[in-house]
Amino acid sequence: MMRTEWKTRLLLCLMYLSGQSIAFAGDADMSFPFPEFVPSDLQAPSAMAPMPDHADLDFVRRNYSAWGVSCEINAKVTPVADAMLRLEVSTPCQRGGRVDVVWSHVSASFLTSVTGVLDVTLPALEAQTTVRLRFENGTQIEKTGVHEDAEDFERVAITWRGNSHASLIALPLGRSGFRRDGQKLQLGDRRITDGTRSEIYSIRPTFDRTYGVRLHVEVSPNKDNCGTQQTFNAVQKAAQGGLVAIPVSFQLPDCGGGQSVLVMENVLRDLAFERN
Amino acid sequence: MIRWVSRASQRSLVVATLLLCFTAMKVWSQDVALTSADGTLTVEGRLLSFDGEYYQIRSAYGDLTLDGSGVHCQGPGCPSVNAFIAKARIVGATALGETLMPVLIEGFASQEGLDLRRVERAADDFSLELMNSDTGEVVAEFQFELSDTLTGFAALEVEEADFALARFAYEGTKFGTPRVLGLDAVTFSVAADNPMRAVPLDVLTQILRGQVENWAELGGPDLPLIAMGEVDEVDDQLTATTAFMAEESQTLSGQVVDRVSDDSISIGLTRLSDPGGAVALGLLGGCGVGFVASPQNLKTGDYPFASPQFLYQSANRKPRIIRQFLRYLATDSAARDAEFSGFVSHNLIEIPLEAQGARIANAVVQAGNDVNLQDLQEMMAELRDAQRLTLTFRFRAGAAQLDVLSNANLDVLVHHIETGRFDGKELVLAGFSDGDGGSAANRGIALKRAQAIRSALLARSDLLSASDVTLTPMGFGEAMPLACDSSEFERQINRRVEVWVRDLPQSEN
Repeated sequence: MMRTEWKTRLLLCLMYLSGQSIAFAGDADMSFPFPEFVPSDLQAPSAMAPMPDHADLDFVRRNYSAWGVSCEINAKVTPVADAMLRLEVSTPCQRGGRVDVVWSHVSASFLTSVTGVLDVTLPALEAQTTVRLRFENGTQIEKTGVHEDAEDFERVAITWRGNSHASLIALPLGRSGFRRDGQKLQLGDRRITDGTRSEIYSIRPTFDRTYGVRLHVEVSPNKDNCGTQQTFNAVQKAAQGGLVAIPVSFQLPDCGGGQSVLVMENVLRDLAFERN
Repeated sequence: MIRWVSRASQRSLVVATLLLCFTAMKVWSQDVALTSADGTLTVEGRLLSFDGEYYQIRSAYGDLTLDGSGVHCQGPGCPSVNAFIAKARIVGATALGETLMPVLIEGFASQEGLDLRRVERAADDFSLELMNSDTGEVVAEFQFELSDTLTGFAALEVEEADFALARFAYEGTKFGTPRVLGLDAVTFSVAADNPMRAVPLDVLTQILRGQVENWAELGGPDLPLIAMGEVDEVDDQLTATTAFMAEESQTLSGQVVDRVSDDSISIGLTRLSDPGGAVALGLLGGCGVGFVASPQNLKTGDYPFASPQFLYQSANRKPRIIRQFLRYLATDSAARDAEFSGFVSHNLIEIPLEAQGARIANAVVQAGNDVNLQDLQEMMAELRDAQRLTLTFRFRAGAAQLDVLSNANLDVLVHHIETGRFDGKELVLAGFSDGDGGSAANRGIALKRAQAIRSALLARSDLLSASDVTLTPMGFGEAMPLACDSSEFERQINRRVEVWVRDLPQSEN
């Protein structure tokens, strides 16, 4: 009897995930973990097309996802190597849903997985970082991560919205044998056309030699943005301590004016490291 | 290869050309008519400025400043009183406008609780807008048009700029005493993996003249020596520090430092504020005295190629928020901003005697027939319990006038005295001479210089004579040279008035 019940459950799961309608016999005593059948809501989760897939289980007054997991949002920020913060989010009822993440004036939009999970690594720009999450259903939560190693890194970032193809260019100076090229990270999901994306340049200075990094921002005009006014945020260290984020606005060349790249040389300050 | 040409005549031509261009471009001057509230009096003219409170117009009666609350403005040039945005147009040196000024404005905005936005128009043409953080309303706009110092002077001349960013001083008094934004220095740099760390001044001269073409001539390997950058009017003695501040050198500096950073066999003219990946060389005088482009040496003017960076302003009245920004430039926060931008700030620090061991050792080593042990003992007895301020007064070559930085230093010192920093203290104005001439005569010359500084300070402020600070001029002659006296260039470094601070003796306190 027990064996048959599990087989049934497995079959129903597969049908559910493949988007098929499922009908139950009206057995009030059946303690089935899936939500009550609502035909119009039952679709296979898609990373491209987030959907509301929760249902109220009146008898326990809690929301459960189609996986039978609580709709409660969980988020955790933990320090990992190289002054990075691992952000783990579980939002079972917003599978394939958009999450806007903002930390230290940097912003990036992501999509959760088919199970409603987001697992990304964010560079820490400050020792104490408040990570703000905004979900598609309007829910907002905040988590704080502490990573003392953040002070050992020089990090600058640009953040923009939409499909502007802004790019942070870092040109290390110094003899090639001694170069510390640093690392450039791109964050944000290109599939979210109106989402925010960021590029972050990160370098761990060693101060055993004198060297520097010149920083530029390039924007490539394309058919979607040509001739438009664009804005990005330049995030860098401030003289008065902490970080400063300055919105930079600029006009892209008119459409048909060629595809030359717009280079902005001074919106981010160059980095210079002197030997101790 | 470094090349140099005489550009004195070229500069005049460039200034004249720029003036012509700006004169032809007067597009922002507008006619206005200001009528009194009762309608009985109207003054017409060209609006020079409106600061949100006062109109300044150039009229048939001269330049007039009129209270905006008492007049009604008519004409195409009338500003919107309700939506007033304070504007400041800044023209001049790219090297100052690309980082230093934006950081200063950033610091000011932060202090005032204002938000900042940057609007890019073209390369070296952008604005920084200050906005009310609650309403997002723009309250001030700093418009930048960056090129070089001479263009800045030309724009200021024809009132097309409110401020000029200058990497060297204006020869003349037309624009008044400028503000010093920070200190920079011309440096001579090599790649980090080049083992050279110092170069004698005479060898440097040869390099600049293209007379050294192989590192073997300097005791190095048999590799070609590639010199980069341009210098202006280098002569046998490296006579003027401004000679190294040619616009071309400054403009090229960023590119030069990038190339030097990546090329082990290059040596280049660079700027301390933009070290890139290169290492600045120390300089050695003929008698072994060294010059290092350290922040302390730049502040004291003891590095020969120190280069103050100036902000000149037009005479027109500035809007209130712009005036607040100018006051901000004199604060410790602005000094912090300058240092953050790679420049050396001009804020005062005190150097204890024990930190000046190298100078004292040099004084002993250089002592000879003209300076005897007694002279040194007398000097040390006076300065033993004192601390040297990082502020030195120097005079123009062959003249009794102070140089531009020293003039600005008078204001800085007066400000600190007036605000009570040295209350109950004695400021020793310690005059020094070069080594030419006899010892007694040099002590007399040094004392006269120190007395001249005291007089200049007292003339600067009525408050000083009544302040709780004692100004004591002293002349120590050639007792503590900073450089060898083997060239005019080095002798000029030695002719100076230092400022030392010490507690007043008990009997006077």
